[in-house]
Amino acid sequence: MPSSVYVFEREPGSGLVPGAPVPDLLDPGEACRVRFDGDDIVTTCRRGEITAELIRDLNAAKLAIMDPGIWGVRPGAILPDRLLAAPADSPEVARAMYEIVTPDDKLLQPGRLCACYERPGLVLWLVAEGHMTELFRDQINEWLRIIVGGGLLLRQRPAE
Amino acid sequence: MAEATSPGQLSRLVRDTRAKLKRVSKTGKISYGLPLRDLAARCPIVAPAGTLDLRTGRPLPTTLNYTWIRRLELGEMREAPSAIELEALARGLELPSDTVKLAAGAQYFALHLTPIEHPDRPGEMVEVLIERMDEMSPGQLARLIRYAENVAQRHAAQAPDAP
Repeated sequence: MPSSVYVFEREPGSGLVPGAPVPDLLDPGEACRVRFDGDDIVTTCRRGEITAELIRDLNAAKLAIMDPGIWGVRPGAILPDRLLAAPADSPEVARAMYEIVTPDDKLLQPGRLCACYERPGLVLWLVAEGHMTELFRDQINEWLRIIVGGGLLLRQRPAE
Repeated sequence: MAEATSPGQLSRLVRDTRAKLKRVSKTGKISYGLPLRDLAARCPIVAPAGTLDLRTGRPLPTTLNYTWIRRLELGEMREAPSAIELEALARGLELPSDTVKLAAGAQYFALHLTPIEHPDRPGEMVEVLIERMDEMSPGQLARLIRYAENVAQRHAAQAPDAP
């Protein structure tokens, strides 16, 4: 059963924690990097580009979407040496993206840091201003363009 | 999440399941309904040594705390439990972890696929999955849908589809 988890980057020289999602060491200029670990998806985040509070809330929200199997990795998409995109006209392929919203937009309920809007073909995560930088947003959206837009991650069944 | 919740799906699941759990006394007498402290002791937290609680910055405890479970049952938990806490809860309640996670998702994020009419295209139904949609007014919902569709159109115009 797939899961999606956001973790902070690993400090250079630090050891790995057995059993925990393995964060990557990010290159200069990288705000985030997404890696498939079997069926699981690990997003490594640079400190300062996203807050711990938003990571916590995104990880909790993704429990409702990923772990019950609503979304899943397309069988055969992950090859040892590359990721295999779905046919462009595959009906299950969606677009996914993050958008930073301000309190003036009045789109998030008071006190909430994120919300998910989804309809067939579109997944939009709204996140509160000040908890994600524009650099992180742009880079994670590019990852989502590849992973969701490329059909590596597909809607498996309706939400319950 | 920062908002308090009323007792919801996860709270009811914990309360109802705890009431049905079998308890065997020292004399062998069987009864049903596990005290909070006994349930907490049956909820070991499995995490790598040194894993810190994001909320407190301290190492995670070895089991769930009974007051934490009580607050959860009463709907007084302001933040959604973590995945590690939900796994511990599932072990103590003897439930599949998916059952507990789905209930947590429903209570704290109210994620349900719901058909609604598009605000700008009468008669056209779209299915949406929005956190705590039941708390939103029709006006708020319409504003969010228009905003989301505008964002999608902007992205479609800016970037070609993925290969």
